[in-house]
Amino acid sequence: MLFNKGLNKDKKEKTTGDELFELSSSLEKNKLNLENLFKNCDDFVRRDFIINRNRRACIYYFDNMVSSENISRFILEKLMEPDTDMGMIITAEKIKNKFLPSHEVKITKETVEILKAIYDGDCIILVDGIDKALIINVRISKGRLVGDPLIEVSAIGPQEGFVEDIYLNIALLRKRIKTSRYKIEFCTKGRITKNTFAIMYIEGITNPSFVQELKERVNRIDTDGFIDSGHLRRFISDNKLTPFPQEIITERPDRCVNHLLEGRVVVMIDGSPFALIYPSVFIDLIKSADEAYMSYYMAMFLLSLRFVAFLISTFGAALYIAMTVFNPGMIPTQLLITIASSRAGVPFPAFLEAFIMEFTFEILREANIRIPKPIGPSISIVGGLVIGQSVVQAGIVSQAMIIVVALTAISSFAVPGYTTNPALRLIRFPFMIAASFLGMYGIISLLVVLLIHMASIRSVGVPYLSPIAPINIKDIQNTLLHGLPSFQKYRPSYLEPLNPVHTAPHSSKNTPE
Amino acid sequence: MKKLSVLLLCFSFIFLSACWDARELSDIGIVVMTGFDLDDDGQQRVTVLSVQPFGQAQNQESVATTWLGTASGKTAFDALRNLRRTSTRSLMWMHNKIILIGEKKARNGISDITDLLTRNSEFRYGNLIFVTPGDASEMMQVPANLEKSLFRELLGIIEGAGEWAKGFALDVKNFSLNTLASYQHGFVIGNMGFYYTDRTPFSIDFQEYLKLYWKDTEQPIVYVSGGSVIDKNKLVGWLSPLELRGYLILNSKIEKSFSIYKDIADSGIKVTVDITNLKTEIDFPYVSDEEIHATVKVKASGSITELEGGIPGYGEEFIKKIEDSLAEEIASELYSTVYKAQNDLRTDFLGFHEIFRVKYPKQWEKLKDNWCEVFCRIPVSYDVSLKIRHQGLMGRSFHSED
Repeated sequence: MLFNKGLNKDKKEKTTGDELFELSSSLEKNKLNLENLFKNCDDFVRRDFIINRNRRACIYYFDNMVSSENISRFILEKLMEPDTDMGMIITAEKIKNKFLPSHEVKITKETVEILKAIYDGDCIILVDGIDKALIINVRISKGRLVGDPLIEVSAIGPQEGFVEDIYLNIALLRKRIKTSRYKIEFCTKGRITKNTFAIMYIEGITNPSFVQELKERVNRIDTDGFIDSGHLRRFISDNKLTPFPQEIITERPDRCVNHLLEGRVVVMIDGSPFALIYPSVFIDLIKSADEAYMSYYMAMFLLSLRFVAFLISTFGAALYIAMTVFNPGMIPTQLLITIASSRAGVPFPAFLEAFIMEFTFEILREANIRIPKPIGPSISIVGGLVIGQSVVQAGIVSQAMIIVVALTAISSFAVPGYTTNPALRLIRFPFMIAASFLGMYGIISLLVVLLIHMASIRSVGVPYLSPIAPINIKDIQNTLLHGLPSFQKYRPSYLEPLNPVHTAPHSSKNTPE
Repeated sequence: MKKLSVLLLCFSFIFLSACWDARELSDIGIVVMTGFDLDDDGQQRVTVLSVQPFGQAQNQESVATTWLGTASGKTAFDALRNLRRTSTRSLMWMHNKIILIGEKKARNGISDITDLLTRNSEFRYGNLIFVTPGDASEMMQVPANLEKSLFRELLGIIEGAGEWAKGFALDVKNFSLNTLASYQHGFVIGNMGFYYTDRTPFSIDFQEYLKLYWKDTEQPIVYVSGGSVIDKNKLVGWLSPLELRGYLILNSKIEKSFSIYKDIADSGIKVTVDITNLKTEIDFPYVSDEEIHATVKVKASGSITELEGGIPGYGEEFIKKIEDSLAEEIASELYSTVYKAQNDLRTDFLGFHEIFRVKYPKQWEKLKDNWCEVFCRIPVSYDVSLKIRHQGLMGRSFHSED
């Protein structure tokens, strides 16, 4: 172990990234240093030119990350104009202030900053005789445009979804929150990838302890890089071994805004269309964005519907096993006779039958994600018709089991949290095993264990089962009975917001007094 | 230490649980009807109707077959276990609906059945108990006519008993309560049985019709009607359907309605009234050491459903007349039931003792040991009032004179 640790330390120093150098006033020296650094990076472009008749200068950038039109028109054209006379003394400030009609120009001496600018898609200008570099923002975003949310589909409400570009995502949020109190703090993490992080919150609402805690957690990370926000979750969630997510994962800007207003913190990472929202509780799994857009009754109905769907998808197969094998007295006689006669020719015990079908369904689901779109429909034919029907006709699985599996599968799609947290699906397998050994009693005992586990989870210090445990009637009204005018007033108190009042009491009084 | 305690906790979950056995659905027979008999050699006989689900054949509806099994043993439970000798499936009583006791068994005492039904967890309290004249095993061999299985046919008939009020179903819960509370004084269990007729109901299907047409023999048909009186765990006598209705009226156990018919000879009217609302009160207005008087007060209301004959005038007076004569009819029905209890069976299955005990606890202490004798001598007066609320859709009769 000790030996390994030593090795790691060596490695760390090697991979910390770029060897830094000092900017000097000699252009040749700077060029040498910089080009040495980017040796074999063939997309690193240098363009030499001459300003003020005889002063040599050059511009560096990464091809494809910059707008070549902007470089030509607003930098090269202006600086290389034959009759520009900059005078005897040329300083970086002078060039910036008089000759560069670009919207964002910075002057720096720090190589770290220069490198970061190059990575971000800016261009830098080095001028002979000046020991500073000019950083000009000529970034263009290349990637997906803002489109529909792909995973978190909602029937009504805004139809915009985040994309991979963090700046575009921030723009989507900024245009919805028009206040200076909406704070966005950037930081860079990842030794090699140098991902940009944004931690966003609304000052005066969000409890600063959450922001502080999250910042500390992000800063503590020391790794090569991040691929996605899902990757980041692994580092900053409180309990790493639980299938329950301790953050809301969303690709919907409207949902982010809603949670920011509640007093939560949004963490985004460049390159991922999914934002992470902290802290989050269990109830957030079954809440969806469009609840806020509906009438109270519909929102309540859908919320309870989704909760039932959650129960069915978790316990459906387990209950089937328990009731048919251990407690057939619980099934109404007629139904029992029907189930029993469909079970009669099946060679497997109920548990194996259920397990085979649930497993088959998981395979189908996995295949459906991987399968190329043009041949997608074929899998539904093979999966749905061939397996579904012929498995019953061949007498391998009973019809009742097919219904149970179909119901659990469809139910799992009705729960919003399932789409972004597929690990939740796995909970039903332990329940099935418990049911096959101990029946109803097994389900209940495992449920007790599960509840103990859930009660022990914290998300940035907030109990995972709040507002139900610890119970807070007012919060239940405000979060679960959300939508009824009289219950909209307050933000959830488990988020400890600085300003608890959400809506002024007179807002819903439409009749003049 | 913490891990050890967690482990212990987990083990206690598994090993401290009650022992439930796993039985695959494909291996069980669902018993839906159980009959208890006494064999001539003194053995207890048990007969069961069990639904045995069989697998589905290709392109065919799923099939369930009813199995009729019978076995005998030294005790009823022994007989239940002996059923396994011939049964291909493990039998399960959780879905049992009907318990049938043969006449011979009932006359010899049913205390063992009472105990079995309440002690065994597989028998649910919702089971309905009946006594049949003859053997239960014979009754259960009657083939189902319309439904798939006999028990469904019987359940349908039992459901209808409430509309008819001449049949009666007692569930195990009330059965055991009655056994506890009225051991000394008897209670009533409903009857079911079968009779032979050549007018069997059949489903309207040409094939069925042909079968029936060519087959001219008599077919057995099941029924649920009448009652049997149990006194000190033994069957002491039968109640005819009308006597059973009297019992139900006296105990306010009428579920829905019953119809009552009267031929009022002096005005030449035949009238049938459907009684929908009924309240009965038994009271003891005069109690002394020597003499006890009882009154039965019935308040009923209903509507005319049939009216035949010439009606002189269709007014309040006429309605009053019908009301009075029908009230008389109800009273005479009650009288015949009470007469049967007091003179033929000499047992207070009508529940007079319960009311007396509540109202006169001191006298009850003195009388309770020979209440049977006391009850048989109590004069009962009847006060029946009937209110006709509705005359049906027809205001008058077809033959009214005005």
